[in-house]
Amino acid sequence: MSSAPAVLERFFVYNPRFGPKEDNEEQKILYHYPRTASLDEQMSHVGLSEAMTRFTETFTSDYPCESLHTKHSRYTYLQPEEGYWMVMMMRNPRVSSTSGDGKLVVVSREDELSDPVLRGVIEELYGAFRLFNGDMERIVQTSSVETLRRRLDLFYSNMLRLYEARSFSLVDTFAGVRFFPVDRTTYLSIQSFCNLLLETFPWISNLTFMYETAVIYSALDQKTLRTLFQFLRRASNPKGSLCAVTSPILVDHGDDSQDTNALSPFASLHLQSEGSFFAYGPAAGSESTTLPSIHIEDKVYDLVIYEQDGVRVAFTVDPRHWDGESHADLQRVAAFAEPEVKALQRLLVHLRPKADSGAKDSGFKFFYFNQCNLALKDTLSDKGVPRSVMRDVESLYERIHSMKEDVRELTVHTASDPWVVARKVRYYEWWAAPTCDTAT
Amino acid sequence: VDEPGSSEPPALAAPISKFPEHFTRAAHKHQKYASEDTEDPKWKLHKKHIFILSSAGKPIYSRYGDEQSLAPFFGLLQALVSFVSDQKDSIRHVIAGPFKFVFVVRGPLYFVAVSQTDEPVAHLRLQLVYLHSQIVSILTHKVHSILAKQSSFDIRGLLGGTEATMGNLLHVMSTNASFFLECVRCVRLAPETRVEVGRALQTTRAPEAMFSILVSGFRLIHILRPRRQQLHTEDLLLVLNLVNSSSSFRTSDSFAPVCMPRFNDRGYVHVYVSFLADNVALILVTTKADAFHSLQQSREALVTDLTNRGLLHQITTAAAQPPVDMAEVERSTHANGVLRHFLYKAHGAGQFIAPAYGPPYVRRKEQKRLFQVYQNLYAMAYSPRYRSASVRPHQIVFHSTPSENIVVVTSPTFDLYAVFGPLTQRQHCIDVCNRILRWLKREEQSMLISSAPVW
Repeated sequence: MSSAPAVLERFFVYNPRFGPKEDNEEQKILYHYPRTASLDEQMSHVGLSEAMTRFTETFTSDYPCESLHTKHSRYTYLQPEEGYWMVMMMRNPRVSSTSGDGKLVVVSREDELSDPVLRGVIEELYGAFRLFNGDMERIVQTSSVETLRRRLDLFYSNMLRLYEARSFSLVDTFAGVRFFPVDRTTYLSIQSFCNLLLETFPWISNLTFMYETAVIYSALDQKTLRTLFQFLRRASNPKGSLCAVTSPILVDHGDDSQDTNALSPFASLHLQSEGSFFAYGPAAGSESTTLPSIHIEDKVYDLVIYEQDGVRVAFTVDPRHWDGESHADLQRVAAFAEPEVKALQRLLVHLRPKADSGAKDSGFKFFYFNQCNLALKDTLSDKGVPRSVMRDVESLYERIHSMKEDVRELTVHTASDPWVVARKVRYYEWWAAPTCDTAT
Repeated sequence: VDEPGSSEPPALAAPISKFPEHFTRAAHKHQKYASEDTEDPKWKLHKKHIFILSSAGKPIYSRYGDEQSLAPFFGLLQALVSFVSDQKDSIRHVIAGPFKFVFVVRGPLYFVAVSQTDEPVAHLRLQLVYLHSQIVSILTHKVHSILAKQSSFDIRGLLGGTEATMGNLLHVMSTNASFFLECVRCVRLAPETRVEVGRALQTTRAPEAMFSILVSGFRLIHILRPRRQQLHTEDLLLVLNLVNSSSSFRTSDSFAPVCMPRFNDRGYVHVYVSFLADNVALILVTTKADAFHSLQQSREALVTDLTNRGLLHQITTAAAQPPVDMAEVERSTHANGVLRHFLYKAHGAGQFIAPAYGPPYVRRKEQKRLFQVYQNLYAMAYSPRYRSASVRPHQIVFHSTPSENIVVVTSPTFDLYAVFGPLTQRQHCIDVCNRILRWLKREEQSMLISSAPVW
């Protein structure tokens, strides 16, 4: 008896507008993963999606097609921009065993994957592309369809590597932001540092201060913060630093001669300080650096992320500011920031939650989301909590959200498993799974 | 605000709401819409569409609309199913907001439901599977081989005249808990009376009768079966639906061929139906096609026997009332008006108990809403996660909305779904549940058939 986990098998983007005639139909496919799929295979999947979305439209134009369940797979659909469709196909987890007469029996677990979770994942995939590349339609308008194709290819071929089905959970559905709780004094110190930074370097904007993958202060709008936070979470390795694989994602040199070997990820700019910038360029301390650009509203900015000892300060800069002087400017910022950040970091270290903190004592793990400020608190994903508990919470979520009823609370207690409680109060949602058999 | 126990439901609700399983007028509702097609904007607004087609895309049945003018739409359905099967996969269902599109494939027959209701996917699947069983009950499994040999064959001719039965089945599945609970309800009789009735069935049984069933609507009065043979709930419900869909059964004794898919899907049995009173029917199932007269004679003998012992009168009176109403439950459990309704399923007996709907579930719309909430909770309790468990788990579920609080208790021996007012405290709910269970233990003898007589 062996089991195979769920796998992200296919992901593609298409827009029928670009291939309206029979003889150039394949033009509508803008991106397809895996690259190795034959054109026929790609077309048949796009064809199925088009048929499916048009079919549901026969009955309702208010609600777009969301998901298709089949015996072996799960398809998730998203139309993030008019005419542009994104489809993600997951293969269901399987269990194989040998039957009495020696035959191999493979059974697909059709109800294991959770639609709301997958929806969160596909929205995140689009959100990240949009953050670093802008709207797809905009790219087509200002440049060309070919550019869009290239950008999608560059972005997703690398981005998808960060998405392991194993890691999908309810956390993705909410796209929340983890906040790092600090006391008032520390917060004020951080605020004053941020203000000083802005005063000294007026060309900095949209400052965000983070510590250990959680946000403390941000001037970014909620939507952008959410997307950026999700991206950083996904792109960070377990130690919390941005991992190498993200580098090709973010920088498009605008031509086809993309020689990825020339890019060295995370090149530190040979600063005297202990911090480093998230930037690219030939490693050996050259003067020119390439920074990733992000799109906020309709404007394009350069994104700068400064990391030092677990503190991460992110800000945006209008690209017109640099004038070829980026390295020097950033050096100055680093020099200014280093001692301040060191001091702040010493304060923050003491505020970290202890390893075996109160959460364990209270006997339950929980998940809390506040729709107003997007705050997310999650101990359900901690190490040591079996995946099945999260799965229980997810099935409650699915049930609540599939009914038209306004369910305020749903509690399930099974003799052998822990209790699972879901509660929704206006804009707060709270999910808990006590790990011991405490009766209410 | 908790409602007092037993106020008279307004005339609007009428007796129909007391017996959720009764209704024949809705069976013909679909005829009103028989001329619609996809161009008609009203067509899309129906809450639940049902489509049946062959693997060649030939229309077989559409709940609303004219099958012929919907032919292109049926073609689209067929294309969707085959698109997926070309990928060596099988299509299950599609979700778009509150819309659920469910597909069930049985050999060369495709069944599709397009629903905006709150019914869970599992129940929509169940309904489609029942429709398949319904077709098999009319044509036997041969319908599969007919279509396999010639996929463009139009089987509508073979199904001629059965639209009322299909329509009725669809209606009944949305209002009668027997289908999703997979068991039937009984007419309430004192245990001694029931034993007497059983004895009467035994002594007057014609040798050709395999199953002898006394029913009222979809509720069982008694059943006599062969020692080695059980009657599957699905077969029973299909037969009950047949009897309840057409008024012709009431006017005179009938003898009709029917296929019982679970019993034997390759051949027909014959069903003798005779109404002993306005609301009580005798159904005799036989494998002998020439047994009409013999069965009719046994029917006469049974009526004589029951009348002489005064049982017939007792049965007809009992059948005219719901097995239990909320006033009685209130008296027995002292729930102080917080308990509004419940469903109790006894796994061993394979039957369930439910009171008549009372306030605030007086309007059909509210009853339907509660019904769909029950379905969702049932689907949750029996979700595939637990199906693989060899022993059904003990589980308690607490579901709270602004309209009501519901407690679900499942165990290997029973399921209880109890509905309370939205302000009822959790502990109070659990207390009342325990009281219901204790009361049922005392009274269930009259509400369940614990052992069917055999021959």
